[in-house]
Amino acid sequence: MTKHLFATIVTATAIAANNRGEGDGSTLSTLQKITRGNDQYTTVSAEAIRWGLREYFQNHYEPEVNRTFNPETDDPKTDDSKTDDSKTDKYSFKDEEFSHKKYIDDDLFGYMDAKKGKDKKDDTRKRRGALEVSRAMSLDPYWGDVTFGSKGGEKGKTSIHNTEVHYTAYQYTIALTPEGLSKPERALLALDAIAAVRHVGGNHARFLYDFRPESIVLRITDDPSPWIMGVFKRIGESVGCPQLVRLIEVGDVEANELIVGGEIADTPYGEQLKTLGVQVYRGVKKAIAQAKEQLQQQLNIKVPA
Amino acid sequence: MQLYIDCPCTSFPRNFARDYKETYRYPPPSTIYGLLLSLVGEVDINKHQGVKLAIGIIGGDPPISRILRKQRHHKYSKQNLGTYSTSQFSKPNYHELLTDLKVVVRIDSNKEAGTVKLADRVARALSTPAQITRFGGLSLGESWALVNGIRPYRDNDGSIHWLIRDNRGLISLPIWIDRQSGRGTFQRFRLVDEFDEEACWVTIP
Repeated sequence: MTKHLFATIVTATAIAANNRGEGDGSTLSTLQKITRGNDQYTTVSAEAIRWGLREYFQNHYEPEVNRTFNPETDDPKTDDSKTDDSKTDKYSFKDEEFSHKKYIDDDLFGYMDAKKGKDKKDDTRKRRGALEVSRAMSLDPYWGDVTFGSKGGEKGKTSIHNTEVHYTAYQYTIALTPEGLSKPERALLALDAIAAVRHVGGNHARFLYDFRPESIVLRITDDPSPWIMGVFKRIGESVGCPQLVRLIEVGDVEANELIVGGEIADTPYGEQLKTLGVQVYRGVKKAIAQAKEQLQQQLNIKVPA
Repeated sequence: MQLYIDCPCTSFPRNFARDYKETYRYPPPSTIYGLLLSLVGEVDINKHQGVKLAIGIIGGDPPISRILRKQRHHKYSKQNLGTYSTSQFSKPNYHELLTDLKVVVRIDSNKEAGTVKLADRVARALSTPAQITRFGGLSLGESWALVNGIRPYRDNDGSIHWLIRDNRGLISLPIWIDRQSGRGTFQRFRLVDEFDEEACWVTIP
């Protein structure tokens, strides 16, 4: 018997402009776009979300994180031995041998240390990331909005730039088998991280796009597939989940496996879900707290100190 | 047994693609086989060799989207260990994605060598998931390409276009890549509307 934890998250609606450095050397910062049906939507990669989760763990559990990132390390002004190339954008590893028992990030996100051993035989140390994250997709089609800007100070022919922006909300899904973790209680920390993830959909790290959940659907189940991916849809100005209601009505998903939280609770869909027997909470944090409690009970795990 | 698999977003990088990550339009048999092993919680890839798979898709060809993404590239070196700075070791590159892929798979375990058949294990995993032990999310392709759901096919899911083996077909897919030698087994296919008892089946070697 294996319990799986799935969650589909929809963020608040804000202006996203996630160029993530693809614009190096050009004047256009592009958003990643994807075609669905006859429309184009913007998308945020799973790697970017995983980066946001890593940042959370680094900020809250630094002693238990193996790979840390500090954009201000080894400033050439204070460290003359460093060349300009290696001054910033640097990862630090506490242990380059990695350890999923010791470190949260090695356990949740996996690692690969590719190398050859004796006689050129494969001596790669690797672990598949236990926490899987899907690509985030926008709820609204992209209509091609672009903003223009220019760098500060003296202007020249290269100082002007333009950035694609999208006023939208994103939804994405995570999958985790707590028993697949070296320490299953880390699943509880992963849920906390999802409620507090930052720095994912903005321009680099400078502008905030709030990536925390505005609404969330959690499912704790034996079923290996989530069935709750993409359940949020834009309905008028708000967000609804008609597909989720249908899935429960037809019996494809059991109502007692679901926990729903956030603004969706205040919509007619929240009422429908409650009637069908789903645990619905007005707050995301309460929904996550409930999911943590259920995980603890079902897997007999304790909250890490 | 006929399965329905719903995958909202994925990519099947072509074997001979270099920097530009083109995708196959249809899931290769080896990828489907890997998904089924993951579904039943099997970690030995050789366990169900000899199983026959038939693959079809529902609806028209899934649209291909091309995104621009950051690609990190570096060789292992002691000098740069842990210091692969963005400025030096990443560059923009294209990557193709498929959206809203709905796949149908038939499994025939008659020619399997082992006593425990994959078809039986899949059936048990779907009917009584509480009885299986497995880990990780189900994905079709890389780990971010999560599968939304997998269940027996229903008639109202839509009509199926089957991949049929045809040496003059225009769809080329890898059936198996040998991990030791790196050599691949490839097959050409074309799409048909009717299931063909002869040409639809592909054997995992």
